[in-house]
Amino acid sequence: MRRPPWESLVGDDRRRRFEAMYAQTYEPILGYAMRRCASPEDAADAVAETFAIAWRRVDVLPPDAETRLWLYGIARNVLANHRRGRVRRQSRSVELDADLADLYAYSPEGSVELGAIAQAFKELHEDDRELLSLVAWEGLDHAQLAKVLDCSRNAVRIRLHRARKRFAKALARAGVSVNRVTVESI
Amino acid sequence: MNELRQLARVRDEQLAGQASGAGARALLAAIVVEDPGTEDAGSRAPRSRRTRRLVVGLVATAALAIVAVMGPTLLERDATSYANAAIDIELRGDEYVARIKDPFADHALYAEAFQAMSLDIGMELIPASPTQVGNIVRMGFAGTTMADTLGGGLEPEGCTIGHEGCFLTVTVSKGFKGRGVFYLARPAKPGERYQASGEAGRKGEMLEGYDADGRTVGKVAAEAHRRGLRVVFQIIEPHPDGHGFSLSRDQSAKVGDHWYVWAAEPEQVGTVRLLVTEKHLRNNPVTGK
Repeated sequence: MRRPPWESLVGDDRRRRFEAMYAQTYEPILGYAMRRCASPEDAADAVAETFAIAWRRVDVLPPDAETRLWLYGIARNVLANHRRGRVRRQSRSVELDADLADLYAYSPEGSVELGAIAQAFKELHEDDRELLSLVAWEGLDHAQLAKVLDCSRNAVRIRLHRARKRFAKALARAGVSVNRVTVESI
Repeated sequence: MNELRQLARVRDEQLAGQASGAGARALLAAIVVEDPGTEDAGSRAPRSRRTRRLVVGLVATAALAIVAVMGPTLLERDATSYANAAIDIELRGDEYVARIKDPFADHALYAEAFQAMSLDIGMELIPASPTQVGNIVRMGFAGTTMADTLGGGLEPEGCTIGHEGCFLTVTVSKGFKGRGVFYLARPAKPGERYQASGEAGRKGEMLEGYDADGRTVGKVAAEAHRRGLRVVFQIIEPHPDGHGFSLSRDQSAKVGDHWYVWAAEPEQVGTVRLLVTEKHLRNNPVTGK
């Protein structure tokens, strides 16, 4: 049988490094995608595309401590492209779809107030939403945000301050008392 | 935990163990069959290369938490061939070649044959549209070493299943130590939904030579009906905020002839699925072009 030319590459150390990185970061990246995608299919696409891109860039994998942030950056671009209509059809596996469908079957119990908060949150510009999400959901601090967003810590501080102000305003418009929502956590 | 955190669909802690689940393993296996690090990021979907005939060496890592348990029934033997009604396997040189004689057989028959050769190989044949038949759609492995390889395709290459002498085959290296799983595309039975498909307009598919992208539902449906095909719809709904799309398979929704088609995909034998929107869009939401 014909052997493709890339067969020789599989013994490469790169693959081992990638697989170790994948084991460590699959869950946070899955979480990142699930928290931002309305459907399990979209989340599966985002996870698949993020790791496919990471594999293509395996030669520039950052040190272990930074891989999660690096992948958040890739995932963020992947989702931004999806939002711009660049849906890349991934050849998703039945297993991945099944895993995600199960995970999506769980949904947090909504209260009226949470619904209002969710609405106010949705009304924010996607950059603000992403910034606040990275803090509240991924638990990133200023230095980590600066890495993911590829900007200075000072820029992060300013953008975060503005995003929080806009969120507070949106909440006020939605009739949610602002002091109930502790956006500030760092 | 503040309210914003509660808006999160899931917390990372709730995903513990997912990395060793079937979905994660299948995705990893699909990604690393690509040639790594040679492309500009984002230039191509992994699908384009994955669907060809492949042979790949395997490496065991911590990412693959499943360990093949080699029970006493799998002790080394010197068997060089085995056959049942569904499959025959023989040792040719340094690899086992399994020819699938009945692609619709009970999967247990395939497993039985591999087990008889002391190989821990699972094989599932999944229904696929004509141009995909013979491709390894996915494969997975665990507990393997650098010396272990899995592969397969059509034999002879490019032949058509159903013609005499044409077989779906898989190959497993002699002395394969780990556990492997193949998902191989087989022809679909009438009424069976494809689990792997090529674009409907592609040569060998139902709408061969016809480009449905950007045309109205009325025009595409007329062409499909002219070819004796049934049409089902998948509705692409742009999100209200103007960013992104979601897909719905609700067949009770009324799709008008004036709606727009952005992709046509084989659904099952004799049926194409049109991905549609009500309003015209500047870019094709499926391809992004």
